[in-house]
Amino acid sequence: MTAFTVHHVTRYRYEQPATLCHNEAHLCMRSTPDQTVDESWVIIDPAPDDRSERIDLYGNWVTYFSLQSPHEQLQVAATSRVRRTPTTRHESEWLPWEAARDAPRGVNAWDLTIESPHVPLLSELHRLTDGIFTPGRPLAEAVAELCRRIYDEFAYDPTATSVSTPLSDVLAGRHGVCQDFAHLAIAALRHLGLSARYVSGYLETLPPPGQPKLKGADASHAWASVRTPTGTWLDFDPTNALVAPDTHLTVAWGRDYSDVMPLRGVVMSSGATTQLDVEVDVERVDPSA
Amino acid sequence: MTTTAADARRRVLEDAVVLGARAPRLARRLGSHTASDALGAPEAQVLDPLPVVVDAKRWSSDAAIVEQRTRLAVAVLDDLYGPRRILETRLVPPEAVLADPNYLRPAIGLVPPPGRGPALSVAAVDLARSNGAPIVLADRLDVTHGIGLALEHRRALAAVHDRLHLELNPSGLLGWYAELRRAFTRASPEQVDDPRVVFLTPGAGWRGAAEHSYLARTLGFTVAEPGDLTVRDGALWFKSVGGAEPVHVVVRFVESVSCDPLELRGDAHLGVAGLLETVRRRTVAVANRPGAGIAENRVVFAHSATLCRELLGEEPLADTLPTWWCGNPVEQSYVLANLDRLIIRPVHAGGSVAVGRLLSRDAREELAGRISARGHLYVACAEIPLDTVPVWAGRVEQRGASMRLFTAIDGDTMSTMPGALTRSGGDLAGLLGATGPAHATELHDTWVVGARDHVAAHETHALGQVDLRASLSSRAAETMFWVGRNLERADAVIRLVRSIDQRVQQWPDIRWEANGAWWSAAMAAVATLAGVSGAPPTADLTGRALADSTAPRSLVTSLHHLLRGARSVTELFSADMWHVLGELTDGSVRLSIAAAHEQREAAGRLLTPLAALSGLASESMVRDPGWCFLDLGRRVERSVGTIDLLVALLGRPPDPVIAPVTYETALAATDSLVAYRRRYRSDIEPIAVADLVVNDLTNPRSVAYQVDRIRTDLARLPDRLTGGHLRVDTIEAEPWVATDRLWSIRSQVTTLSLEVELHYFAQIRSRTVRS
Repeated sequence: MTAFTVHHVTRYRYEQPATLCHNEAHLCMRSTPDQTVDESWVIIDPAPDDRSERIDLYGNWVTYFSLQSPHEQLQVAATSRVRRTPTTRHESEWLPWEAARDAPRGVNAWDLTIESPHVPLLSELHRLTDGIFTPGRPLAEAVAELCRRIYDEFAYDPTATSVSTPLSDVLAGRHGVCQDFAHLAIAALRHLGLSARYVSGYLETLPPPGQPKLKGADASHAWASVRTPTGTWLDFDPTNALVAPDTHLTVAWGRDYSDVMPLRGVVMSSGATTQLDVEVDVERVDPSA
Repeated sequence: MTTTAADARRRVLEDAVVLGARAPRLARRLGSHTASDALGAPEAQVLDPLPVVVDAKRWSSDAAIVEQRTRLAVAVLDDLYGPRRILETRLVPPEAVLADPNYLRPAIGLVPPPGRGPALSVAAVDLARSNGAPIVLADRLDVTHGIGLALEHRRALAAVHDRLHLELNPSGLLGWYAELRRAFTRASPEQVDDPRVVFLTPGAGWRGAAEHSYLARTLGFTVAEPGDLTVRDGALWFKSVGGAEPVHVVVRFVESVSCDPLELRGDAHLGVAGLLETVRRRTVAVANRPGAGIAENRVVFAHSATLCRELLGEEPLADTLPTWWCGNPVEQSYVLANLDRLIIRPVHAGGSVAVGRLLSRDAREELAGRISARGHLYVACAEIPLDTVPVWAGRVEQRGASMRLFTAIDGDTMSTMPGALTRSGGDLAGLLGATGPAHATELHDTWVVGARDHVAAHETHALGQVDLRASLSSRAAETMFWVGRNLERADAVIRLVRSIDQRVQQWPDIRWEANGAWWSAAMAAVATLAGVSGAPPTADLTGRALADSTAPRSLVTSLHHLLRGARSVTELFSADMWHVLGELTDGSVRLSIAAAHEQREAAGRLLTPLAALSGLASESMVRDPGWCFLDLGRRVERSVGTIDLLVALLGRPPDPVIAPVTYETALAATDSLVAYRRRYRSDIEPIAVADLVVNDLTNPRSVAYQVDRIRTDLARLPDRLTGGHLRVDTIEAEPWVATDRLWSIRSQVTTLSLEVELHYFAQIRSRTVRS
């Protein structure tokens, strides 16, 4: 078991003071079978005039808050202490992928099998899975190869896309960031009739000596997860070509980015621009300390 | 003795030619009612002069159908936003519902459990007949269009066909609107005693804007655009000029998907950020509940009979339009094999309507391709034959029809309007929303005849006393202020141009006298008032002052702003004023297309409706805050305009040759020439001109009079701003001696105008940001 401390700070600076803002944050981390969240809290500065917490349809924590007097900047700082065990593997991951496609599922899983706002089921998607999802192939093996294909064929390029770039552009341009690759993998799997979800979370900022620093470690990260024939979930990270990674830390999951945006808000300000800074720091806690 | 429906129908057909001949009168009457539709908003609809007559017995069986559909919709919504049993058990295929953009994930769990308040406050059902049997075409649940139209149509038809209406005596509608008002009021969260209800509309120019404001006026509710509302401390507030006022019920005429830009995807300007949070905290109720549109899903519709048995334990009282879902392989192959006999639509409410038989071969193949690739997104329905109603098309014709019936829901009680909005058209596709000339439809008022427990058609006070409350949104206040300013701008430009024309007619050489000094002074005045510039000083600017739509204060520009503003605050003007605004619209269209030599006449014709509008504003409007802002705008503009005019014409001593004409020009342009002549009966003296136009408190055109009115208007407003520092020095000198003092008055007035804007109007737009 490994313990981590996560700091995730978001700062907005407004060109003109904002008179009112309403925000929704998916920043408190959820527990998973492999992750115990000991503490996870959000500090907002200036102190919000109104705040409430709730759990959304997918079981994530949502923090709503509003600021009602003029402010020139806003800082939202999330701090979490979590313990992570190596990812539990399930035998069902090695069943033929068709078994996952044909498995009965409830509404929540159905919801992850059809298109969603950022995941249109484009007809070209079959090119991503052709030759990989061959008859009878074990699900985990096929997913690993899909992951590798995206990793090999798409360039990681933080300047190429933004949160509003449609998936068709990512597919055509062959570049993007973790969000785009997660959406791409999800779309490819849903296109085959599999249930897949979007996971937002973190990577360790500085890996242990001898291990490479992963892409996406300095900001919030995103990857995907596929439902196995028995209803368990198999996480995979197409940005780093990893299946069932052991140290990815989960914040929230949903149909796609739009369900789990770390922070979004509606701001009343006469200024046109907002400067945004995000800092993420994930530290391994030394058990001996 | 009661007329039977058969007799009534015969009467309508016998009189059809007479009734049909009243179509223009009807259109005029509705033109003043639905003024903003007549003023060019989309979706203007034609009301047929022939009412559709329905037998009371048939109406009650139809009402039972509508009420059963409504109970079913409530049960479906309670389930889809609650336990989702109908999806878990696949009573309805989940992928058809989950893929519907109207299924709002954040609203799941938001609808209170059954018995804890209604999911719907008003519902509508489109009901047709095929071979005599009732058949449901659609349910209208998210935003129910037509509720206001039904009443407008009834009032217009009852007025135009007054004798027929008396004779046939159809059931009156007002009692139902009282029920509707109760339903909206009762939707309020339980802890509120005297709930405040607002109509949330997307604003002028959007579908139904005129209808919603008409309905709001009738029911006594305030119309709010998204920018008029704000969420603070988990509650909802209406931004009035008197401060923030709490709101408890939002009657939503904005589509669910747009109603909260924080939690839902949507334009930040169409919804109210934080609205869902207020519903979650039970400080606000939204009617109908956000997400109600999912019950309009066409696969849910196709499964109505099963759902009715399972959720209500009842047999359905009417069939629904036969519908096939292309997500089911068997149904999909049927649809693909019969495309030319079917109508294809998306699974979710709205969207395009493709009529198989009208598609080209290529288009049909393309559609078939989309259906085979993503069948779960499409449904098809049969083109069933529809029973007809008589329609007036220069003669009586029979056309297929569907009736939209409305039900108000107050807890477990439902009440269906004893009337309906009937739509007739050439084919079923048009009634389902297909656009284009082939699918044109007309509307009819629907008269329920022969009801035994008859509510008199002529009841007048069923709605009782309405407390309109004196609140006015900051947005509406600002609009009224600018309507007032533009009204005066338009008036001033016409009067100035007319005054110049009259002098030229009287003294054809005046243009060249004193080296053209009079002419250049007159053109300077025109340039200042109308904001035209760029031409050499000797050019004739009057044409541009009237008709140049690129000049900031030309007559056409001012009218354009005036009319656009008025359209966005429809509810603040009376029907009479809308009549005049309609004339202004016609007049400004004529002016903007007039040839140069016709501009004068076109502009001159506008003076009467402008004066009528000013007159109605003075004589027929309550002195509420809306009126005060209108008047403030007029007074500010008139004082500034008058000073600008005086300075342009008389800022320098005129050459003696042209002096009398110059004074006359100024007096005529300020509508004070007659007053001057009556008072002084002498040659015009410049000091007396200044006295009459600046100082004279008895002259409603004088600057002092305007300033006095500004003070009175400010004193009437809530959250007072004092006009105490406004000082108008008496000017006992020639205008050119007093220009400094005139400028000082002008700058005091413009400063005050700015203070008013900052104090009452400050509106900041919102936008969405995300990390």
